[in-house]
Amino acid sequence: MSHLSRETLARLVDEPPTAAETEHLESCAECRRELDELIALTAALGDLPDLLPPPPDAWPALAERLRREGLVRPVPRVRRLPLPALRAAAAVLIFMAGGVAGFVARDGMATPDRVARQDATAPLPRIQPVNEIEEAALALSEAEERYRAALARYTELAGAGEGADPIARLMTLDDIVLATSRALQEAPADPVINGYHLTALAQREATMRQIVKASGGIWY
Amino acid sequence: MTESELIQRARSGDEAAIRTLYDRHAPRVFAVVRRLAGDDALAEDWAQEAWVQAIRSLSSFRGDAKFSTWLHRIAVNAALQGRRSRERHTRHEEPLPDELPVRESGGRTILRLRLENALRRLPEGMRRVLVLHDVEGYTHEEIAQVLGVNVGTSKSQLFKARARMRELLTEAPVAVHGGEACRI
Repeated sequence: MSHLSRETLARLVDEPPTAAETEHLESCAECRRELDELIALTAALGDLPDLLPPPPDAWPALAERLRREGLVRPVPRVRRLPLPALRAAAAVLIFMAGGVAGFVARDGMATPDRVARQDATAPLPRIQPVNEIEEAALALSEAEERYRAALARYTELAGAGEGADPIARLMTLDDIVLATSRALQEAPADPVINGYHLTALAQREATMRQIVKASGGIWY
Repeated sequence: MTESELIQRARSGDEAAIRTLYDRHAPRVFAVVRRLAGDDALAEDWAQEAWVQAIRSLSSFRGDAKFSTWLHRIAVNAALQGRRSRERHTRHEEPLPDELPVRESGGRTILRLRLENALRRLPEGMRRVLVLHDVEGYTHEEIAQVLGVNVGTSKSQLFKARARMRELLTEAPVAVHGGEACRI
């Protein structure tokens, strides 16, 4: 009897054999071997990996088309931020959380005993992790905006503070020094934070001298 | 962010959300489209088409099925539509594939490369049925539906495709690894 065709054997991978096919398979080692090969082939096809990475330029091409077809909202182009920039953004947020607390405290104070000083042992403000570069850029942009606003407020406060209660001013400056110190631990080379820190230290020193002078030279 | 949140944002055209969905699912989409296409450049075009269709249709995704399943169907349809369009416009011989690539990096890799290479060399009609049935796990009824053929045709094409695969794999040079011939 002639062998079963490959197509017939391929069918027997999924379907039961007829009586004649069963009879042939029982007596033909070659057809049984070929059937085994086809079964193995089918199993191997089913085991092929489900994932195949697309070419790296596939996303830019797709994104461009989605924009062209109006399927995505236009987003501002964001530059890639290196790690130091992200750290600086985090530092700015830490700095601002401390600095703003200082300004708020100073603003609401008429006398030193009403100063609600920030607890130096309080945990640092938690920076939310950013998964997307766009979110990081947004966080940085917001931080920069707050930074600029705080800088303006700081200038205003420092100017107005010339004639203000020196004790309250000293406490505000202490808060600023604390906040800038924390920020510098995260971004020691940040020139703006360093500038803030040194300015606050100098003003704190000047304020202390003012207090000493007003107390008749007795500081302790 | 959960997938449903991403989908919600992607519906409103949020590019970052679409990018995240793409990163998660692109390898699966590309795998099925690549096997149906049998050609990298074509696969890239069809994968892009699948994604555009998916983003355009996101508002119709109700969450009854998993997003990956829904997207997979779109990818298959995009590939089959692409195939029909290509058949209408450019009927030409497919170039012969390059020499069978063989790496000395283990039997499974060699086996996979041999299978992928043989798949590429199958005639298109056989390849799409074989890929859909044996690789992607579609039933003959589902194949009949997506291809617009009857179940008998799907079965017949599948059996022919398996037989042809055996021939192609037998023709291919046997890869020797560690002194032993690697055969299926």
